Amino acid sequence: MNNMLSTPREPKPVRRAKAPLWLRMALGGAFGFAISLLTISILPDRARLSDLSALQIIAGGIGLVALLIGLIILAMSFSKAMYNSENWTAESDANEHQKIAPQLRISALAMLAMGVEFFALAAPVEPTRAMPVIAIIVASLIVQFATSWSIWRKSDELQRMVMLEGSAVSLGIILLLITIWAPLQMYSLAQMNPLALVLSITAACVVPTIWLSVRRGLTS
Amino acid sequence: MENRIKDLRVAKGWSQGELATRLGVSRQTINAVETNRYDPSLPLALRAARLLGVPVETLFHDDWEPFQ
Repeated sequence: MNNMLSTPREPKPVRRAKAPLWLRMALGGAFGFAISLLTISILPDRARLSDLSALQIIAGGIGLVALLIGLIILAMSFSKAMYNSENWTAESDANEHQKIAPQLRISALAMLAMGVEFFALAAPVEPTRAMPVIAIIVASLIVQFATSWSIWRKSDELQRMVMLEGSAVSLGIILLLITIWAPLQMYSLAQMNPLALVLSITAACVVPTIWLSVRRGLTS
Repeated sequence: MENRIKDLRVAKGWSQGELATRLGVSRQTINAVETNRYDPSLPLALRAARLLGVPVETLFHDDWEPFQ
């Protein structure tokens, strides 16, 4: 009787069956383990972690995170499921991935270039062999500049506002850092490693932009 | 600033992505405006009002009152 009175329901959209959570986690863990083993195996003997300074390890860690983020964004540009748009039903929403894919690839390139830059900064090379490393860093910076310019040109008003607000906050933090550092350096009270300066300024640029992106809803 | 974009968009049967395409912005921008996380520029507000067929002061509401 209830079945006769019930209103007809719209058919549910067909969704691909997902693997169980434990299986996905196990596969992720296995993949991470394999990548770690591969990374350790290709590291030269002289590049042991104990030979690196704390700043070089941090720079290498940032480089690794940037590379991973770049790879994730690149994967998102090729996969609707990774971009989390598989449940969208409206035609224009379903096309969003298609529209945004080129921008995602440019962002991925920027992150990969940043990863390479920080790996190069962390590389334990002798001063006589520094030129190739400097060349890699300069090339990475050129790629980052070009990709940033491209991203700016393709951004809409919200994205541009987040970038401008982020730049303003970053500038304030950088001015604060340098103003504190300058007298310490002038009166020889503290010496700042150039790598520490690069890491501080990078953090001052990246953290406010991420915070503003979340606050303004760019990530939703 | 509060707004009625979501109500009017839904009334027209448009998704956020569809409205974004018509206005030439990203879906995230429409989402941010609808959830009051971003006040759009004046040109975008005027275009949205024209597209949704209402005056801009109907689309956006501000509690501000002039001092007497």
